[in-house]
Amino acid sequence: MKLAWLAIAIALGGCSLVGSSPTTRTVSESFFIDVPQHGVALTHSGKMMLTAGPPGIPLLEEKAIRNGVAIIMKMRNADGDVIGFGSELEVFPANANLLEEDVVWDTDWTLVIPGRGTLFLHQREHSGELGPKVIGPTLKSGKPWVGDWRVTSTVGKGVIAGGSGEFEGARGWFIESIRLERFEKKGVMTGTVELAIHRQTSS
Amino acid sequence: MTFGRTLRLGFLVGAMVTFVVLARTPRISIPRVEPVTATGEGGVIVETFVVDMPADAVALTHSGALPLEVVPASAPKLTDPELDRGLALLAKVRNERGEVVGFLSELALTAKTDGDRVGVGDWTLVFPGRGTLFLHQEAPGRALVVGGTGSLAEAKGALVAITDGTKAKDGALVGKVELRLVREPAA
Repeated sequence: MKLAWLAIAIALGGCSLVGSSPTTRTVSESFFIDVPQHGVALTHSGKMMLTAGPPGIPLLEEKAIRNGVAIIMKMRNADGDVIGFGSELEVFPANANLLEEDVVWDTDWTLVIPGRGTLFLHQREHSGELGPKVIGPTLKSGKPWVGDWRVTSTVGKGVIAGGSGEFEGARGWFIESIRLERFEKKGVMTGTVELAIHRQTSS
Repeated sequence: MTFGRTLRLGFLVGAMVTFVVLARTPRISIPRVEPVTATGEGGVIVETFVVDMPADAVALTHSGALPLEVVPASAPKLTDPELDRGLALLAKVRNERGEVVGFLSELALTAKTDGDRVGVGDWTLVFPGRGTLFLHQEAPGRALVVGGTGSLAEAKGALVAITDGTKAKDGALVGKVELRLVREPAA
C-alpha cells in the first residue's frame, strides 16, 4: 500500500516538474542605492535615529503615521549608472527600541525604471544587530562608527506584489541587503543598499 | 504502520510544524485608524481620501523643467539623463473627515520616453495598521490596483484622482486633491 502511495507521489512530483520547467524561468537582477548620494528625501516622526532631510522637510508627526518612514531615492544598476528612482515606505511597530531589540517592520518599495516599467515590492525587515553593534556604540562614544557591516535586512524573502510595463504581472521574490560603512551620531549613514530581485517569467 | 496511523502521524507533524512557524513569525503591533467607507452601486466599497495641498506635501521633486516648486526647496532634482522626465511626490493622506490616516508616494513620468506613455504613474498608499495599496496609472486621473498588503492584500479596484478643487499658484498646487478609491467587495 505504501509503495502505491509513494508511486503516486513520485508521479505527481514528476508531472509537476515536467509541466512547469519548460515554461517558467527566473530572471535575477540587482538594483543599488548608494547612501547618502542617491537619497532625495527622507522623513519620519523626528524621533528616529536617522537624519530627516533635506532641511525643512515636514515630519510625519500625526498619530496615525508617526511610526512611518518615507524615503525617495535614485537607484543605479550594477555598472553604476543611475537608471531609476523609487520610494521606500516603512511602518515600524509602536515603541520600537532599535538600540536593544531586533525590531521587525513592514517595508514597501516602488521602483520606477523609465523605459521599462515599475516594480512594487513588499517585505518585512529587521534591524538585527544594528542597534547594539553600530548605533549604540556611536551614541555612547559620540564618534562616527566606521567599518564594514553587512546584513540581510529582509526577514525570509520579500515578495513582488505587482508591476507595470516590462514587469506587468511579475511574480517572484527579492532580498534587501545592506553594506554599512559609516554611521554618525546625528543619524547619517554611508553605505549601499542592494535589492536583489528574482522574477519568475513565463516563456 | 497502517495508512490510518501514517495519516495521524502526518497530521501531528504538520500541526507541530505549523505551530513552530507561527510562533517564530514576527508580529507587529501598529495602531490603525478605522476606514470610513460607503457602499456604492453593485456593492462596491467607496473610500475617499484627501491630500490638502500644499500642506500635506512632504516632498516633491522633478528635473526642474516642470512649473512646480520643488519641496523642500533644497531637495535634489532628478537631473540624471534617465530620470529627467520623472516626478516624485511624498504626501500625507487624510480620510474624508480630515484626519491624517496614511502617507503615499506618487512616482510619475510626465513626458514621453521610449516605451513609456505620457501620464504614466504609480501610487503607493500606506495606511499603518491596515496595509498598503499599489496602483498603476496608465491614463491621467485613474489608477488601477495592482497589488496590496495586509487587509488590502486582495483588493481589486481603482483610484480616481479629482483635482477640480485645486489650482496652480506661484508654482505650487493649492487645494484639495480628492482620491476616490473604489474597491470590489470581498469575494
